[in-house]
Amino acid sequence: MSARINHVAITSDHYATNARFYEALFGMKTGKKPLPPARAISIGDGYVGMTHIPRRDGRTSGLDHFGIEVDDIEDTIARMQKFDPELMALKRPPIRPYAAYSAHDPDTNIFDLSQRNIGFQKDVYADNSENDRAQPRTLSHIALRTRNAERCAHFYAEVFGLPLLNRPSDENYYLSDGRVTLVVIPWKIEDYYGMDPARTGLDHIGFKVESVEQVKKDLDFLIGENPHMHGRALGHGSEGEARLNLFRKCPLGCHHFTDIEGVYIDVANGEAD
Amino acid sequence: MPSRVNHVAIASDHYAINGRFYESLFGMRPSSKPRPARSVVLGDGYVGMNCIPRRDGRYSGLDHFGIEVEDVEETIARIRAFDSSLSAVKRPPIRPFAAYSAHDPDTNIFDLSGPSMDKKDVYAENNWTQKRRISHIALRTRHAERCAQFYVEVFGLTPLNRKDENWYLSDGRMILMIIPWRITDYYAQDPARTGLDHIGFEVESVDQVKKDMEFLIGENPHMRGRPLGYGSEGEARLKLFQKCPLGCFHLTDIEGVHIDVAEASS
Repeated sequence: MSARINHVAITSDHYATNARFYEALFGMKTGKKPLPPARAISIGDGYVGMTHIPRRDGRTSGLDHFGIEVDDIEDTIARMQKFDPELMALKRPPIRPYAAYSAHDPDTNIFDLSQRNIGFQKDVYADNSENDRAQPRTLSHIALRTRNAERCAHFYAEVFGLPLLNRPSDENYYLSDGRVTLVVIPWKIEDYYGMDPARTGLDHIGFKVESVEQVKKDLDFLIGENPHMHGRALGHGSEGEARLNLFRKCPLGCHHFTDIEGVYIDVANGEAD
Repeated sequence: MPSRVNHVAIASDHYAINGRFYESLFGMRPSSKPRPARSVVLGDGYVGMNCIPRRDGRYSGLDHFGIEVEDVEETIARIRAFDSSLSAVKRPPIRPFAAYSAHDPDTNIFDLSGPSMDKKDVYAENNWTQKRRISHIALRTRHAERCAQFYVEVFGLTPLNRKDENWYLSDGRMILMIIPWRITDYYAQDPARTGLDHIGFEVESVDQVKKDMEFLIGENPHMRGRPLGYGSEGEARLKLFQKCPLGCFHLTDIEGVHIDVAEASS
């Protein structure tokens, strides 16, 4: 049961500009056969596909969900229900480029399920499965902040066979598929002293890059070329500082910023796999 | 232990326009002492609505609600008696409503305020009546029954007898509606995360609201909400929204927050 954490979705009113941001800064690429232009935009780093979804009525914007590709979806759903019979999965409309099903963990964090090599995947997800393009900047981790972190970590380890990495220096759980790490962070309302409490769910994404200094220079250049490439200001005022301090506790990143939508991104030096 | 469900907050990049929308369409009133760099705070005489500038790393949309209690410390003690793993956090003193934030068993976040707390903005002024007012706040959550028990036991809200699967908890004026979240309800659409689902208004005339809406959009195109019911997925989202029996006309604000309205029962 080799699972791949290879999908993340961001919902935004500025979804098209946001996709351009990831293309411009991280070199993510569109698929050879993209979906119709009125729909979401999917881009990839050769392994992870990132779908930028136009925000729909009644929905929140920001980091929306992630996805896991498995060998056998039916078998995976059976393992989920063995872990907890109350956990359910939902078949998705066939137009989706990645997801065959959506499901949720014990804390109701939603993720997509996909199955490789059955001709289902479209757009960048079909390209990713054909040809893992190497590039210098790749998505390295997806961080989930949730209340029952230990139980959720066990869920992802048992159902998807993701090994738990041994990082004894903090309270987080790190589950790796060999390339991308799912960081499960305990959510505690006490962590939000001096700011508005954030709801549970996806917290941030991280990239491994060839040079953090070069990323900083590229970001500066991009904003000069196109002011719409400016993310949100971080660390201003006491509340901004409190938010940034909490974000910085993730040990996998050393430089922190946001995309156009305001989604937290941290980056670190490291060779792309 | 009388409690009042009297606060709702919406985070938005368009928070200022969104505030104008609620002022224009529903006659909500801004604070007499606004703080222009911060949230826009409006009231309907009972419920205060904060339109919050969306901050880095945060989601936009309906963010949280709030409950005013007689004694905040005693309420926190009742929360812990209900479930010792539930906690509360003290809020920065600048906030107009909240003294503490806390969460229910499904980690839905709410603010807590006490009558003796140092309230600001409309929360210090909320004492008028008007013809359009917030009637309910709907929360869609996985363990709806347990959450309903939580709000009944901790806050003394009264469960109303309605024969569907939702829970309707009244403070005597406002209803906190708790809807069971099931992923299987999202067939043919993207599953929405759990949390606040929509807000509802009681109005003097639904037809007049429709006319006012038309007029407002003609006066100011930025007052247009999001289209509802288009395409198979839009239709699926709208049908799920329409299951709330407390509203008969459905729209969104500028931010995309679902709103339903109904005429006040005489």
